[in-house]
Amino acid sequence: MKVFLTGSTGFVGSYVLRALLDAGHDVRVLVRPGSETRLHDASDAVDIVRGDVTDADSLDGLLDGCEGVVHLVGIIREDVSAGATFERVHLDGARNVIDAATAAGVQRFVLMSANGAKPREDAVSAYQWTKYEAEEHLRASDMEHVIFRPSVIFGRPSGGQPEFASELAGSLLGVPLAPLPLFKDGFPTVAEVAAGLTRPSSSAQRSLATTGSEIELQPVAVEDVAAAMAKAVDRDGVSNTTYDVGGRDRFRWGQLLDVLTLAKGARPRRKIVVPAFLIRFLLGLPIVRSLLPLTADQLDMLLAGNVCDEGPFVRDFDIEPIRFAPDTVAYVGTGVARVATATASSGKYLLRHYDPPAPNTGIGHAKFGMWVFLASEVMFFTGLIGAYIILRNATPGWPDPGDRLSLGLTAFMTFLLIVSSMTLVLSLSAIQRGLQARFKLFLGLTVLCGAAFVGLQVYEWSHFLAHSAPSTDMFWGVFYTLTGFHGAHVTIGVVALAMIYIKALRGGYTETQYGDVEMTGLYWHFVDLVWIILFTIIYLI
Amino acid sequence: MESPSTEHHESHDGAYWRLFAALAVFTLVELAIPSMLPEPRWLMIVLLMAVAGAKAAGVLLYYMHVKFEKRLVAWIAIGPLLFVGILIMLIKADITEVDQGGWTFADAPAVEHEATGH
Repeated sequence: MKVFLTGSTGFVGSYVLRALLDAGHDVRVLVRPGSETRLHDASDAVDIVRGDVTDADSLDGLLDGCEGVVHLVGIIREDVSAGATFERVHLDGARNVIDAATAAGVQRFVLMSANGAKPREDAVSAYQWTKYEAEEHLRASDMEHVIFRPSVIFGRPSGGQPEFASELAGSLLGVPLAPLPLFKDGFPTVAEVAAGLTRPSSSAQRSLATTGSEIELQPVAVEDVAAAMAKAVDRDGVSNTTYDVGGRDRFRWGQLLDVLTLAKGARPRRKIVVPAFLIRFLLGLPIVRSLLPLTADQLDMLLAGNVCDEGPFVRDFDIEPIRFAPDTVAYVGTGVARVATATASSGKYLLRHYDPPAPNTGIGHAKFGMWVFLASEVMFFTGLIGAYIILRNATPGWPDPGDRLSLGLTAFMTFLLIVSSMTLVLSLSAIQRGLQARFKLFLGLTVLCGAAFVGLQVYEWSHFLAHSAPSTDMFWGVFYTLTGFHGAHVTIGVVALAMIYIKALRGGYTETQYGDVEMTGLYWHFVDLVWIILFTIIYLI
Repeated sequence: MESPSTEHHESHDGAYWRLFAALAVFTLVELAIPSMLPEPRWLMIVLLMAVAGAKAAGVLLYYMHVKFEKRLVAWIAIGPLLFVGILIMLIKADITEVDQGGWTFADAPAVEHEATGH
């Protein structure tokens, strides 16, 4: 089907364009002159035409030959100086496209409206009634139509596109340690003020997150919206229907802020109840208005709530909603893997070793970082070994290592490290398959083998130091240096593995949560690998 | 997105056990080489380094999963070896200088020759 798409350079539009192309449609996209470079998916199947939805004349003939239209153009803030008002963009723009589509004989028109769209007399914002009147104009046309009324839409934006979760996280969570506001109509109660003074992790704060603000939202993933819209252009049984579009879960404002906080890898922040009239007063001051992340219209719409019955949307378009959770909104974070365990007010959200997607490398950031670190370790030990080679060759009368060192003991130590590497990799393999008992058994054996190696090295050193200090001669100097640095690495590994083991005993790892084990494992095997080389050059050659 | 929760994991346990057996055998071989083949010394060194290299490669490929990872990981792992090679070449130049008597360790303490093993 030939589909005419408006708003394709925007956040939702870029996803809808991809979904339409994936569904096999030929897509003609409308872009404003000069905005072509903002088009994210200009494949061969995309026919680019230039025009402006607010200029009816510019649309003449552009929809000829199209059987479907998806109209997405919308704004969330007015820019009066640029002529981008809700009335002009939402209402005039939609009317122009609907009229042009009617004239071009388009069969089906899919319109992106908004949850909360309502007649002018009931609306709290021009945003709401302009969306509603655009719907009414479409309903009055002869075309089949499908209208979507989404709640807030979340998803990874690209190229600075405004997106709900990123903007919220950037504005409210961007100031370190600043308390998060829970907007409320009316004054906070004494209990709410007191709760605002307690620790962020307190039960009073958790309770405040669900009760401190009446604002309730039902975020829906942009992928789900795009998938449904792409299906709406030609699916039977959905025409002339208005769909409320929301995600699976409803969040109170405070809960939603908790999810975003976790997604950024931080612990829950203190929340305080802020009277909405105070914010309205501040928004009335021009200087303050420019500093605050929301408009009076947006505040009013937030307080009015933004939830819906998502059932028909999910059912008719076969949507399995992507949940709004720390891992699905992790794009608001810094992208640095970290450990953050915290209790969000709406339940336990565990964010352990979250490894955000790595679009450029295809490797998780933590793993990539560990490998780069190990590469630097290769150079560290190469420097030491290089110094050893030079010093050994420059020192006359280098002794046979067998005359000074205990080969049997060291061979046993080598065996211990080999065993530990095997038990650790078996342990990782077990937890990846959810075999908890096997995982703990092999992990425990690894710790034991590592600790035994360190213990034997301490014994070996204490024996040698009794008669041969590092300064005795060059042989002992390089021996203590090389085995000392390696021993320090092993010790660090044993401590790390012991900590992981304790956490494992407490059930801290599952078949989907084992980042610690994998990363520490890489380090441990590297230490084993280094020993294989050191053992040969120090003890055998 | 590659994250632990979305990866599919095949079991390589059999390979891990086989590698362990190989590492143990190779270690025994290493222990035997100096006594069984002390001369020529260069051959002993080459053999010992070859066995150690094989052991290290096994650990790298299987225990560190380079064999099963994306190629980029292999490049990160192999990349430093280029610099290792450069460093060893430079060291070799230094050693050659030493052999020619042009570079000495005037302050290097002499090595004691009495056996102190336990």
